[in-house]
Amino acid sequence: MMRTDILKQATTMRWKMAHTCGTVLFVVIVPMMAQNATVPAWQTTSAPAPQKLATKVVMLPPVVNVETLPSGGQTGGLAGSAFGSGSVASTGGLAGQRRGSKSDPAGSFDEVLVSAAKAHLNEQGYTLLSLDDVQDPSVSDLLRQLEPLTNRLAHGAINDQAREVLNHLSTLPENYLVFVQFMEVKEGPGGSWNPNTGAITSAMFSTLVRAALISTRTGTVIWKDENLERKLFHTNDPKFGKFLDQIYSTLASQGGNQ
Amino acid sequence: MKPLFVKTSFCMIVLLLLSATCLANRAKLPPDPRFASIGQIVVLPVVDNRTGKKDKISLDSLRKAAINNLKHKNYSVTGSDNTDVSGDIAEEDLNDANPTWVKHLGPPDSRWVLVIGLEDVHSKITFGSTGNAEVVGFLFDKQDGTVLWKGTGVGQAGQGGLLGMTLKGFMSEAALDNAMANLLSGIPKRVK
Repeated sequence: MMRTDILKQATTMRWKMAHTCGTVLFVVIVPMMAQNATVPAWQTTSAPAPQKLATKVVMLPPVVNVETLPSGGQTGGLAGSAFGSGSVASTGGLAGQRRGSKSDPAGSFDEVLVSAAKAHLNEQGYTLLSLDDVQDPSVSDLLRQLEPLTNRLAHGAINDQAREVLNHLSTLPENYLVFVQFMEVKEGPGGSWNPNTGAITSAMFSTLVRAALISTRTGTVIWKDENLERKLFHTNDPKFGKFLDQIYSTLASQGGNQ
Repeated sequence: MKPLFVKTSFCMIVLLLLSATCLANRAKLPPDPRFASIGQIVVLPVVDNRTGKKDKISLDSLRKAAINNLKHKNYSVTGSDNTDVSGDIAEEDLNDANPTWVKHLGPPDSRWVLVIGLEDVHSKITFGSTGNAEVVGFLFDKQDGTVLWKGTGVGQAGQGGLLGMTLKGFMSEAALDNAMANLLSGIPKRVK
């Protein structure tokens, strides 16, 4: 009798201990496993979840302006000021063209801009389309009307003409985001040194890239950024890639706020 | 021998006189009628088109410099803060100005309106210090909504050595002065 009772008690104790341990393991380990296995992307990163951003982005062809600033007439020296100064003549003229024409490198820059934008937008989960990929001809026609306004739109400035087009687009059943890029390369006079006076000048170069994302639903600029470097890049320069990355890095934090 | 020398000298003197006369006549070309007909130019506030980090620059001083420059060229010039267009003037408004926009620019009673845009100005330390500046200018005729003149002026300034390094603070303004002078050199001097 005594032996049987002792055996029963021991068995009951084992069961209780096993049950308690099992409960503890379940309470502690299962949530930990669940946390590791099922943490959604939006909880771990500020970037928008790709599944939620299946918005179609239409990329307008980038505009690249290569402008040559007036050069020549360097007059380094002490004339007219307390220190050396150099100056160059103006290109002022009667209604002359300020913008330079597209030169050979511009075509290559187009490709770099498009591929960089594609990489970053795809990373953010956007569905990227070119103008030719847009099936609806009415949408395509309207978007083509925005092409001449790329410079303005990339600056985030929507004028009456652009607003009219965007208003038309907002009435259509499908909503798009319009992605625009503008690049301006300026090449001015180089640096100089006058050994007689000690006057020096630095070369005038600059590369500016602007990009913006515009919602056709609201007709507003939902993201824009720009970057300026006072230097010239080659298209295959890794630094140019980093220069563009600086612009698109803000897309992750701001681009999803549509 | 002597007559030959006299003849040669005479010919050279005649040639010199002829070339001098040609140069003098060239300088007295009639002025461009579009500039000659200008009554009063209204200079609007300078549009700051700079990108990125902006050095502190007095835009009002820049406008005053432009006004003084044009006054020295015998134009009647005045400044006005009334841009009369909705919102600020954007860089693109100036580059792609359409007649409707131009006609609403500046005070209603004005006809010739000058807008100056500051594109870039900066200074840096090198083996000394340097400054670079770029400005653009647009002279509009509101009567027909056209751009009468537009130009770009760049200016560079700099001084090498330790002395130059101490002068860095002045380089932006020096470059800007040069840029403004170069820009407005595109507007011809008016005959009194």
